Amino acid sequence: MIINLDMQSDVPIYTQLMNRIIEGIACGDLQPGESLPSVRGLASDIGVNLHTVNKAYTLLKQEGFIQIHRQKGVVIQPDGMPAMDPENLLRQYNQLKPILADAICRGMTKDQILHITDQIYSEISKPRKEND
Amino acid sequence: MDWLSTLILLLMFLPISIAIIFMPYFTRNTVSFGISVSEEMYHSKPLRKLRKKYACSSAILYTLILIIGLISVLVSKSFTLELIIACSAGILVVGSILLHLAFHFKMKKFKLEHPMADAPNKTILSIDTGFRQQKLIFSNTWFLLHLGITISSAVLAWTYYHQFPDTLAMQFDLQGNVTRSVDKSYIAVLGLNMMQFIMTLLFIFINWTIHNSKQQLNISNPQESLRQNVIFRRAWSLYMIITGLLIVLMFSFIQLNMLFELNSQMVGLVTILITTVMVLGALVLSFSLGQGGSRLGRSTSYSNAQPINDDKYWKLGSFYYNPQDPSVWIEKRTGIGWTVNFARPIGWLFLIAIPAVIITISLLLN
Repeated sequence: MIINLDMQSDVPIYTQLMNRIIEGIACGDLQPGESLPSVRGLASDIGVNLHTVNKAYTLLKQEGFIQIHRQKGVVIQPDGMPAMDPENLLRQYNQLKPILADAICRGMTKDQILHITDQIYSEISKPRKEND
Repeated sequence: MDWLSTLILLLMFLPISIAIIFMPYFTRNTVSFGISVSEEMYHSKPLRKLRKKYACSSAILYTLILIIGLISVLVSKSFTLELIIACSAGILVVGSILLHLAFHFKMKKFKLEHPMADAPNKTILSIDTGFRQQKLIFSNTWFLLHLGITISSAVLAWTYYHQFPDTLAMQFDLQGNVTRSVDKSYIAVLGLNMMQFIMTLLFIFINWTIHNSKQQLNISNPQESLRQNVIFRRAWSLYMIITGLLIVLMFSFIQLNMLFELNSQMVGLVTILITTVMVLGALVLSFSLGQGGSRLGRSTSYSNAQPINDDKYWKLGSFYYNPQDPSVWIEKRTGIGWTVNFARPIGWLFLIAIPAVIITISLLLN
């Protein structure tokens, strides 16, 4: 899967990297069991410190999206994705709240917000063409 | 001077000068004389003109060097052919460096004066997570062939050691006269196999480097750029395997020549033939693929996307020094191939150790 990173963004590289990988899993570009590059390989391809990639991988591992093996390297979780437990629901709730508050302040209606959510959902779940 | 020497001079000089003349056309469409630009800017009229100007100036310079070299070969009696070749090569190297620097600074000034007005403010980097799962190189097991030839040559040389003549010709001039010979010894005979072994190791290392060097995709079309890059790496990997084989075979031929004392001019001829094949092969690959495969299926629409501005890490447009980047091997900015990140000590180590090993071995053999 091809990942695009914005090198001048305020969003840290490790966060962008995590988001892109989770998106890749969600839309099926990254299949369970598929290998990801090694920490060193990915860091040198992006041209950033090893810690940056390490941080993204460690967090993804803690969440249960990837596995890190000594021999096989880094792979997308082959034994089923992590479930939505109450803890994650609460976190999602807290993350969405400021986004919605911001949208409401800027005058968005409930329908508009739901429409965007719907759009994003179908963008991710829609099977993509190979040469997209 | 006979026609052969003149031919040799031409065979060496022409492909190398052609490669240097067309250098700015080999680079990726996002680099102009060591300065990062958008594709749109690369194909803009002033930069096209700049490249043409470079090609013309260098063509004139190298034609002058060649003419002076040929005249001194034909006229002069006091200089040897070797000296003339060394001098013209030296002038060629210095001249090309100065010319490139001049155009680099011209380009730097041009970029400062022409900031991309409508360029998007973002600088995107594209990475394929499956890059190294692709078949980027031909397997290193191909080098078993080279090792096989090396070992069988060594075994044969050892077995027939008593049949080698008592003095061995070690060096020839370009006319095929022996300029240096030594008394027969195991080191002198088997040294050639040692060289074969070291060269094979070197080519295995280069092949490994081709696999591991930094992934660099063109942001305006990452998929296409990925395809080009895979072809580029595989082609040069194959080139390394084939030239490695030619060099190993050349050493075996030299050894056979020692044993049977064939025509001494043959050795010189074979050496030059192999060198010419190598240089021409590199030239053909450079023209057809370009740096990173950028000449493969060039598109006609040029993106104005601004590539990552890493100019400050490219000292004088040619030397990469970036302490933040953990990669050791990276594509060159000008010309074809790879260079090291000078901010990594291991990069320095490679640059020093490889010539050091080869020089030490050849000194030991003398």
